[in-house]
Amino acid sequence: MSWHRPGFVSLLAAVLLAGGCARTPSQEERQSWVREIQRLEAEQDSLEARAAVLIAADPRIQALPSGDVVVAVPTSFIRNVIDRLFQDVVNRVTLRLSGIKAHVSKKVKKVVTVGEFTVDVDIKQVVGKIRPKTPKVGFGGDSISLSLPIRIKEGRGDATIHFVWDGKNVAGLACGDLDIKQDVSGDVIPADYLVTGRIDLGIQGRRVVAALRFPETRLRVRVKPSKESWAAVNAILEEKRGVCGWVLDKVNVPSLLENLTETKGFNVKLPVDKLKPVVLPAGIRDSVQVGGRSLAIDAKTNSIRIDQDAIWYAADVKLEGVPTTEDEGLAPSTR
Amino acid sequence: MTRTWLFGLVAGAALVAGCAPSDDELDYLAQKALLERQSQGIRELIQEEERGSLVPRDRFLIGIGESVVGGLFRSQLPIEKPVGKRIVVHLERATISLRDKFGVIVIEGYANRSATPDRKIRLRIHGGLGAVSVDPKTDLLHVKIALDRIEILEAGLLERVLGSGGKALLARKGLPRIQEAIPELEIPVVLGRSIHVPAITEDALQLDSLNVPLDLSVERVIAAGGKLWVTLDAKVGKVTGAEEGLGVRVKTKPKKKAAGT
Repeated sequence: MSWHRPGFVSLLAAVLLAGGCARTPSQEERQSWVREIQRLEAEQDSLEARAAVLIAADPRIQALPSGDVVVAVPTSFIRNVIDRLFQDVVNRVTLRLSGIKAHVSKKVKKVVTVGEFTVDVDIKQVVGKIRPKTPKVGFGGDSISLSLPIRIKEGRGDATIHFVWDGKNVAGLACGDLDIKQDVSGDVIPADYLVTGRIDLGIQGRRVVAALRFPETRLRVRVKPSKESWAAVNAILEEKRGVCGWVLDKVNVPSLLENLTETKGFNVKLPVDKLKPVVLPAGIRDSVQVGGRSLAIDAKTNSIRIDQDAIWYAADVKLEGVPTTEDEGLAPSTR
Repeated sequence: MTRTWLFGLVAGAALVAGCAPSDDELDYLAQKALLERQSQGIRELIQEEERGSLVPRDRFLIGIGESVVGGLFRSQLPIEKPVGKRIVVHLERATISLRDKFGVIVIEGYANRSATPDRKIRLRIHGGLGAVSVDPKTDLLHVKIALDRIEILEAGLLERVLGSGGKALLARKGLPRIQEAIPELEIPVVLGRSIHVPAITEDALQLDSLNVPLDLSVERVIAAGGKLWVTLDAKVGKVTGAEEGLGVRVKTKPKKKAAGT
């Protein structure tokens, strides 16, 4: 519909016609209107009283934080995001260990010290695949706790083993020194690990930011040398057995290596402290566009609270240069 | 089309003219309608609370105080907007009350023919909360105001000529046009469409930036306790980024162990 001249004229005619004849209500009609309004007001009072009772009895409403702007992010959503990120990210992680060295030295005594051996294992590289298991995320007490189970499912590595025997006294004369180096390879022994930490919430500008806090996290990665590697090590040791047989029996190099690589393993630190803060998807903007101009928003955070059900953020907001209702002097039309 | 509309309107007006209500009756009807609407709103709030869903556990909930909503609306006033070719509407003052599910918004101002700016028809416009959406460009909440009815408080020179029935008819006909003049509210609450996980380029940990897309949809808008409450559902999409995989590099310093027999 557009207000063309004929339309405008006809509208004018219609309103003039309509205005020309207004009913005059009877006394009875007026009284019935008053009664009806009173009935509706009483009904509304009753409803408001009922609502007040329900609201007073609802702990969730009572616990709503105060502020001009209140934002609740459900913990089910946060849990979902963490789970999705954890599954998607960890599934794609390749763990690369390199430059890891293990060193064992031991003096062998038979009344007096007969020698000292050292075993160095120098890991050139171990590449492992990590797989996520079901994470546990806890909310409450103003923190988010994370319990992230992972499994190093498979992996393979290369290392150099360096065995040195430094004979002393009679043993030195009889057997001399040994210096054996051998490259070996092996498979990572699958194992489960638990990475635990927490998420701290803070305010960065007008947004809620989640910072990941993990204590120093170490994994003990164990490697099982391959059959071929064992065969090579044993062949070298067999070569040296002759006059040094008793030394090798005393030291028991295979057992030592097995203990070092398969039982004790390599204690490696996970760089989880490098993860950066993440901005949550709800917050207050510092300005809005109104009527073609930018209006500055002054927001002051009242609280950030972490409950079982939701993360609550509340702020008081001032609109700069905007009159209040009182300044305007227009009375509200509600009862 | 214009001619048909003209005949229809004249016929309708003739019918209306036979039974135009008085000022008192119009006041009564307006008050009744407002009370019924408010009561219906409170009744629905009670029903939702009895179902335990007034503060939902698994949804985003945004509450914005009526001082902020009202302030944002008032910051745009006065608004002067042409309605059609001949009429200009001026919106001067407004109050917003957010207590009974639908909200009560009252705007006062006047209209005049553009050719005669001194001949003012004073208006009071009644409305409530309309649709709420998240602007895909700015990620800000947008609130529409839905008009219910218009009162012509004073018709100036036409006051006596129009009478209450004429003013009511004029107000009803003008409602859709004046609705167009009411601006949307841009609320300074930003709702991101994604969560960004920053990239890490440390020697020990290589991680491309990740993006978790969120599908946000407004589920419910209510006015209660002096706030506009918006409930949103957020669905988490597929994580993108780092398709090439991530690298965690661990390098440790040599460690010494010593033992004696």
